[in-house]
Amino acid sequence: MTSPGALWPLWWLLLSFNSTAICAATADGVYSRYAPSLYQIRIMENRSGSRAALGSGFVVSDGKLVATNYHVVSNKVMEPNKYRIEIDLGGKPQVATIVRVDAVHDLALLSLEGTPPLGAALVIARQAPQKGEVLYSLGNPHDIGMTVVVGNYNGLVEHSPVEQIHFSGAINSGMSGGPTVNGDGQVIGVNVATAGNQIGFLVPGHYLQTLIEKAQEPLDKPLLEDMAEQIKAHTTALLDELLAQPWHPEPMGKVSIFAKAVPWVECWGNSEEKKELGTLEVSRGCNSSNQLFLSDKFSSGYVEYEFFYFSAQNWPSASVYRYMARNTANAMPGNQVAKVHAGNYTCSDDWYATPQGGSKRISYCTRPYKQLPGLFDVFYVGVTSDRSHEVAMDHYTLAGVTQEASLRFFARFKEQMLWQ
Amino acid sequence: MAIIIEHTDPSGHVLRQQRFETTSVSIGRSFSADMILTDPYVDAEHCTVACDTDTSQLRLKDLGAKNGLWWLDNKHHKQRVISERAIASGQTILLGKTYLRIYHHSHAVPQALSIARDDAITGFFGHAGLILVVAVLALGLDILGQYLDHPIGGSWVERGREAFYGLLGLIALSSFWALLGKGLVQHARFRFHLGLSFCVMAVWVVWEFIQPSMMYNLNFTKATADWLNRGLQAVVLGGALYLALSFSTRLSTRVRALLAGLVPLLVLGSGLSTLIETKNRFRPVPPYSHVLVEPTLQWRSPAAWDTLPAAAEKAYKPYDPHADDTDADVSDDTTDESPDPATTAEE
Repeated sequence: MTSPGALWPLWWLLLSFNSTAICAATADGVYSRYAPSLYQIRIMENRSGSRAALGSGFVVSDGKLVATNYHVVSNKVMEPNKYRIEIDLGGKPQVATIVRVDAVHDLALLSLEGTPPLGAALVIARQAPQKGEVLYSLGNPHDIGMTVVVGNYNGLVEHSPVEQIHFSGAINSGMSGGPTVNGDGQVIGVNVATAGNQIGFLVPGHYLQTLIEKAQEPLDKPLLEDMAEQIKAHTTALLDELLAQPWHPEPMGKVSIFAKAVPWVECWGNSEEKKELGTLEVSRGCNSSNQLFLSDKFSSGYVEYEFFYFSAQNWPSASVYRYMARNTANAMPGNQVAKVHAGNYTCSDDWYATPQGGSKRISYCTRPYKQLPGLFDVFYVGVTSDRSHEVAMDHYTLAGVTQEASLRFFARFKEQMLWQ
Repeated sequence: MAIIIEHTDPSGHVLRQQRFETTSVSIGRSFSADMILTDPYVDAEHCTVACDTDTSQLRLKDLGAKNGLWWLDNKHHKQRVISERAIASGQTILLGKTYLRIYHHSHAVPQALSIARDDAITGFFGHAGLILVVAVLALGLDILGQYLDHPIGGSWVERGREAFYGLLGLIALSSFWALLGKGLVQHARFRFHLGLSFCVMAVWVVWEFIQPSMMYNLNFTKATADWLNRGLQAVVLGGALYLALSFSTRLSTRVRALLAGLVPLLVLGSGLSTLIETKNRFRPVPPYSHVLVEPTLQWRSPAAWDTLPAAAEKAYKPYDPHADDTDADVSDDTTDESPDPATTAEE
């Protein structure tokens, strides 16, 4: 199901650069010092030999590795035979390999074995900056050349299931994977996303530090298996956090439901009373505002739950149920998955006698991920069918979860929506 | 001594029958002929049929006809009569474009058909009471269905008109069958075809009406209901076509069965081909049940609440690469239609 709150539209705006003369002077210094450590990352489609994606990267870890975003190299991870990664070293493109990824925080480390020495490694800052501190974001926006953008540190993004820094500066397409540094040239974060209007997002540097430390040891399993474990740990932690909270009952129509149980879910609601039809519709829904981008047609690490109440006191009972059958027939999972990434849904449907003595049609469907073992998308929809003139529906989608964690969530969720 | 000549159509259906109390019959367009034909391809004096008084043998003689004289063998192949030849009683001959069947008066006719079975069928479907009841049922359920779908706003006149349009189509179809039958068999009746098509419609309307509650009460899955739908279509439409053919054409039982048999073959075959075709197709939407039934029509006890976790557990099917070929085409970008939630910056 989709919800307005799930949308975090991206506006690729070419914003005018508006900085002071002092900043410009400092920015120039930062740029000239660190430009030799910056590279453009190109994802090449093997068959056509043309560019499929562009991003930025920078040298880390004693000059041996290049850091970038996972989403820059996601095509290569998901379809390794179709793509290759190239890094332009002074006009000579060199093929790079992926050493490690952090799919949850959107980071990747690349290696260029047997190539000329890379530029000096950038150091990752140990301390978070002060709010308002001037930072310099580096990268190659729209393939127009390496650029420095001045902006400010604005703390961590609130209410996000994945920790990100709010950077007030114009991060643009193509700068993904580039570093954002402080005046001392220490990496504060990695450019990752923008919401337009000078609202940029960075992956905090300490996640990159952790990934670099992990990369000192060779990976003892396939990359996709490692990613599956990261997503598993992430979604299990999200569900654990959700399950650890009290779910306060809130009235909605004639049922009680729960809404915002954790800070990282955004909730919305609506009601519509049509006097001429004698109907009342009330809906509430919450979702984790952030989805993990795993590839162009594959998003995961997502939680949404919704409730819907319908009442038509003057309608025949059959009309109420015919209406609801039509209304609930098009429920969709909230995340996007292409067929290369997941199998088909398997559903278990039946009517159940509820603890309140009524009956409810419950459909529980799951689909397994093909490349990420042990992970599933879970789709649940329940519709009450025990009152003549009113019906309530509850629904949730859990994307990229384990069977164990999702069943624990189900065990609690199914008991929540109750007639008042 | 008498010779009986039947004028038939190419399929053998008798158009006219004449008895000649003589031993020789002349046939042609001439007004002096014993049997006068109007076929422009027939000569004025085309042929004669004679009967031997001693042996009762029938003989056919060509009188030099421009387009020749022919007799039809057992396989209905034309054989030319060269000057003269003996023919058996019941033989069909062809002159010009006219088919005649020649009999000796002693030729035995087959036993009378039982009228009871055919009359029972035509009488049943053509019964005015049945037609009225079925029409009222089909119209009523259609109107009720429309009302239940949209109980507020629509007028009864509009609903009635919508439902009546459906019946108009059936009246046209019945007229077609009745007109077709009028030329081929004498007992084709409009009322029979009307009753038959109304019954088919009523079966379908009733089935559609009771389907959700039946699915609930008998605990049918969507796949079972789909196959029941197809089975009912195959039986009802196939059966109706067989009856319509039986009472409007002179096709043999075997041909009628073959034509009517095509209906189930098509209905079930298309279901099967859809099943095979979609078996490995990626479906972004979960195939969950859409059936809802009001409490008064729920006659079975719902499953126990504590069996839910076990049922949910059954929905987990780990990915089996050997049992799946939905990933055969990796370039296919079939996805669900949810809005793009990516929050990442463009590479």
